Amino acid sequence: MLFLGRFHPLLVHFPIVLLLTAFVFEVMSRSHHFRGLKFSVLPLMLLGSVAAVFSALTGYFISQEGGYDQSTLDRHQWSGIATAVVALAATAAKWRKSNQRGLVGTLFIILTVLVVATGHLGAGLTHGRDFLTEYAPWNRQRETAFALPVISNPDEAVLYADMIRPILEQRCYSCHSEKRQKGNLRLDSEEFIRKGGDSGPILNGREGELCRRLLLPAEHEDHMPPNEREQPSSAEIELIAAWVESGADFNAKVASLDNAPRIKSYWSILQTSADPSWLPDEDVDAADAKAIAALAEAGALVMPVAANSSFLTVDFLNVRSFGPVAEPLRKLRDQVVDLRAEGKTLPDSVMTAITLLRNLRKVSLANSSFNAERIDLSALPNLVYLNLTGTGVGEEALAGLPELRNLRKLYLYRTNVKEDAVAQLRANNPGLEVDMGGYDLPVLATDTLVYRR
Amino acid sequence: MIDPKHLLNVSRRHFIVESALGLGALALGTLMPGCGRRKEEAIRAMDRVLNPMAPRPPHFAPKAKRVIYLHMAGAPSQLELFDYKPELMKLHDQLCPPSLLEGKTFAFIRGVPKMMGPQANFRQRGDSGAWVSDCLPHFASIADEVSFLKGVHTDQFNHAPAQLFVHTGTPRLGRPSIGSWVTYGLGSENNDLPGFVVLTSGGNTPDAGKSVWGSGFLPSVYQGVQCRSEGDPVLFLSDPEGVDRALKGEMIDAINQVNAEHYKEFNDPETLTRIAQYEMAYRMQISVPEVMNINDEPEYIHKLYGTTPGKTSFANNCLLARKLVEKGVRYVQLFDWGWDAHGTDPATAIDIGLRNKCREIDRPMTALILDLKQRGLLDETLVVWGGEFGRTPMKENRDGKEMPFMGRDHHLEAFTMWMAGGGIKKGVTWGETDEIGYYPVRGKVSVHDVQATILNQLGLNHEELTYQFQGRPFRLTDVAGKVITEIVA
Repeated sequence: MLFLGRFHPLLVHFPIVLLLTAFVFEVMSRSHHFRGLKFSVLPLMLLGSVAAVFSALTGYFISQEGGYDQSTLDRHQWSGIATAVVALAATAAKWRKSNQRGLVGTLFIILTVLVVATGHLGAGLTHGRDFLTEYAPWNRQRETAFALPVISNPDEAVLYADMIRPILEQRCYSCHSEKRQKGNLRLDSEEFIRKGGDSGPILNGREGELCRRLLLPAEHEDHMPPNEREQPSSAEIELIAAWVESGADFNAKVASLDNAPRIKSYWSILQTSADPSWLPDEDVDAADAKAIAALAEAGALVMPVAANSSFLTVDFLNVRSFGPVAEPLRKLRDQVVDLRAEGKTLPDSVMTAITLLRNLRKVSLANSSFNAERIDLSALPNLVYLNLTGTGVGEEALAGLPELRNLRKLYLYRTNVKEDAVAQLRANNPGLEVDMGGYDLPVLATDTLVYRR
Repeated sequence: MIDPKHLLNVSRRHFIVESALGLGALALGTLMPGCGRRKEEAIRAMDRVLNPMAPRPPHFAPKAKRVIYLHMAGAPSQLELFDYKPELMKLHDQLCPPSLLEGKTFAFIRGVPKMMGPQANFRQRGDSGAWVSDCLPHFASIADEVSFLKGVHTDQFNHAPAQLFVHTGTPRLGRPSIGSWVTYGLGSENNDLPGFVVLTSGGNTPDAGKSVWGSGFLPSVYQGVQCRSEGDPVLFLSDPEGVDRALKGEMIDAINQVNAEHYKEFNDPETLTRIAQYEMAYRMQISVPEVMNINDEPEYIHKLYGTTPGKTSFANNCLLARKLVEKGVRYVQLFDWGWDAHGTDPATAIDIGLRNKCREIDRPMTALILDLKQRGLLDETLVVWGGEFGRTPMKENRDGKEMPFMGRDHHLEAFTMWMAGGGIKKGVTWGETDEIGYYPVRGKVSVHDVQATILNQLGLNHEELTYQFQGRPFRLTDVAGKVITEIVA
């Protein structure tokens, strides 16, 4: 029976096509132009009804395998049976050469609605209820990215509830929870996880079904989640494995477990994942091609940050004369997000143009002629990275910096800025990393120790 | 009018390429003005031939713009440097269990070898608690800056194929190296310098020869340019006696005029490439000696790196690597030879030669990280360190005999690499080997995974960076490779 059930996905396509075609032909044949089609309707109906009956039968068999969302399954089953019955009735009505066009027509309309509904419900069973609308333009939910809760003290966290469950929820629940129970497995409560699925219990160390399938290569048939789904990272899988290996306790705190250091290291890897993009959130118009060409003519490297991005990286590395630079740079004020002017003598016109780049995120003026008295850096509120190494500037360069709330990295090696001036800046902006450079490595005895036989 | 004699000089391949590119682009440009996209594509293909090194945008916004790859040729012992195995110490001098030998092939181990405990003292370092041995005291102080991969594995146990595998994605000859793929994908930033520079130290070039920085089937402009830190940085770069710069300039002008005539006649874009290469070589005569000269670096920098100008050393090469990336060189590849610690003589003994090699790299590579950091360059410069494989937890017994010195054989199952900067997390250790350091048991990664990660940091999708050759698209990672997201910030 289970063998026959597996023919259901194959057979279902026949009644759908045959009955819908019959309906379309019936409608068309009422026009004078296509009246010849009326002879095709009955054979199509006959074949379609038989196919509908077999589909319903095999459908019943495959439903015995289980693992489907029960409420959708019920609706699919009854509408499938109804389709077969109505199809037979409509065929009978047609067969008797009934001239009751009204009766045949009504049955046909009911039948068509049933075919479409049954087909849709059935597709929902195999592909998931939201399959059809997942990428619909009005569906915004699809953009929910994988995210784990922030845990300030991992020692005190309950391993299962705080760390494992959020991963299972986002990676496994779509097929193994109350929504669906593929392989008769549910992972949404302690009771179900302990019970396991068709292959028996799943919590048996790294070799147990849960870890084994997660750890298999993605191409392997048994690998979970299936290859076409978004895959968990290796650290997520190892965290789940570490939980199973520690005895799969549902209430234990991390600190109480033997492998707590390993668990904490995996968790910290997962917590620090996905550095937020430094690029502006809002999109900008494509850059003025003439301005780009003019800059390139002057020797500047002007590159999109990435293919298909309107944001630009500009590097003055090969520029020899800055005469024609300022004007086109101003025209790119929306697009330039990353600018390098290392080792260059920059005329005031170019420095002013730089302060107009409203979306600028990273700027390196290392070893350049940057002069803090002429330039107000506070005009660049979105700056994330600022490199002033080798410019020899003094504390006056820091004047505008407290206003740069987004600044994360500031480089002041080989400048005349003193440590105490920086302390104030650090206190103002705790997220800011200031690097004063001047690193030294101690002279060690081992530096000159030559090992011989 | 084309002289039929010229046609005899055209090879079949050249003819086909030329007609495809030349005529194809012309036809697309004139006959199909409506097909804007295809025309654009044809123009882009032409542009790639004319300006092979022009910068190109990455696939997605990159974390790193440049790479410095430190390759310890010969394969350093992970068991003496990073992979601390106290259990292995307990098994020291005991016979290796047969389960570790069955079905395995070793380069030199024969019969049943003895196990060998770690020959160094380990400590956890920094806030991250990463294990680093006393072989690398300076590097230990910056352990929090780097991420370690402890479960790297390869499938080659001889140096040359293993080095080719690490750098070209396959153990056989003929594929482009990572540096070539990177300059092919992203072009070069500095007009006056090569985009891919190779520096070697340790007295020898790697066993796999120059193929580890070759361009394989990619156009030859993408191959690595080997520079020397002693004498002329590039061989025959300086003008011969009696030829001054003005005369050289006139000479190149004359050659280029002839080439330009040739181009007018045949319209072969390769001729334009050649003209560009002559001009670049002329510019490089000034720019390369300038960037390769470390004499002008301040004294405290020399002290930091431990450099001695005028000599070939790993320290000099580290300082040069910093200078090169500062000047916008995309990919700097360092090879340091002499890590093959078999224990056949003092220089390859785990407790003698290996320690001396460690001393040679410890200060320079630590200085490199710190110097990049203080210059604000580490954020966008990816530094990669590793060998071509690891070393066995067993003591080598060449030809089944007891050896005069302690050594370890080639080990392909597990070895340690580290990465720093360029959007790599700080202080993460990913991967773990079993109690004796034989197999990775958690966080196992392949050579292709490491390559995919390097490309990923540069904004390149390793599955999309392809080159059509012999009728199919090729890529660095072949059909494998997965970005190691665990160490990516």
